[in-house]
Amino acid sequence: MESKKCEFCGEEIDSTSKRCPYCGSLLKEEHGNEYVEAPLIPAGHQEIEQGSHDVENKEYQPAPVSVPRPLGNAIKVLFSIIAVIPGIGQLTGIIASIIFMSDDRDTDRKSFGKALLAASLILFAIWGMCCVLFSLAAIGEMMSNPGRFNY
Amino acid sequence: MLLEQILSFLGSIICHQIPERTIFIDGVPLPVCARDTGIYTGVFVSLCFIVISKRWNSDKPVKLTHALILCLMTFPMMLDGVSSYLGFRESSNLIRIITGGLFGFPIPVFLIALKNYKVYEPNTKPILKSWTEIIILAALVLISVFIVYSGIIIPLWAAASILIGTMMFLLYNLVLVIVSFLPFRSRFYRNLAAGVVFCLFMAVMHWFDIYMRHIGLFAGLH
Repeated sequence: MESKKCEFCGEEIDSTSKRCPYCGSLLKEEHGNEYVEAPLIPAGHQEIEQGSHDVENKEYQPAPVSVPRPLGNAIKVLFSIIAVIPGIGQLTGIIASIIFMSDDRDTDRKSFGKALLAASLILFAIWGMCCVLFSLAAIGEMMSNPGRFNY
Repeated sequence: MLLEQILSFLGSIICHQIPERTIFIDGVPLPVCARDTGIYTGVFVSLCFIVISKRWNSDKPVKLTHALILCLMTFPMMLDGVSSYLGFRESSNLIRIITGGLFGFPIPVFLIALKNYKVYEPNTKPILKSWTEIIILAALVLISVFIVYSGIIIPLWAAASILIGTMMFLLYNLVLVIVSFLPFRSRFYRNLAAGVVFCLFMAVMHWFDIYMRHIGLFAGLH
């Protein structure tokens, strides 16, 4: 079987392998494809060819993922209060929570979005039920019979 | 008939059951009012759509634009309700049931995605895929609502069972969503807790209903 030297740790390895079994580095393939993943170098091997390795890798570094700033407490409190307003408040809550939940980079946003959506749906149901069952019936009653509730 | 009495009792917990605002099939009223009939028909159709299209495990919420449209669907009922209760105009059962249907069908779309949503893992299975599906869903809801309103095809017991069953299912799942924020040792304990809270909620609502009827809140509306 053909063998070659690992370009990071210098051990003899199989020429077809893509990852060095000794140091774990991802190896360049003979023909063509460049690697994009940064090689995994154990602590002991880090000094070997560190310089050249870094220079080689620089252009393949993936662009840093931009992490949004965490949500402030003021915004959370504001949305929680808005979500209590009957009707419009819950719709605002649903829209805001959909925006937060679809942000895959930040778990804080995702968990707040989930809680806000749950709260909005439940308040929607409660308000709806109250309207159908009690409060609007009371308004109708007062409209049709104004003297009744004057005590 | 026993089934009718049970369904009517369960309906009275969440609905005023005023005869003028209720749909009759073969001379017998449905257990909930026209508006609620619309809402639960919409919820039922939407749930059927989700089950048939095998999206029961979907965890990705709808897109923002779709969410906006779904929220807009709830506006007609709110406008109809507020304007008619404040006395600006008179609503009819047909308007109530149609606007109720449009109000009902977005709810499971949000609820099912919320139930399966994972905070610490990526969510990949979308609950709605395109605009066409929203249009198809709305059309299906309108057709079903007309079928219920006309009183043909679906017999009373089936319509009543579907409405009350959907109502219980929806309420139980809403309770389950709250309960699942708490840490439970297993799924069994979580579902048990949700069941207990659900029963307590129904009991409280029933007591409230009796109290309201006792002080004669609905008397003027008959």
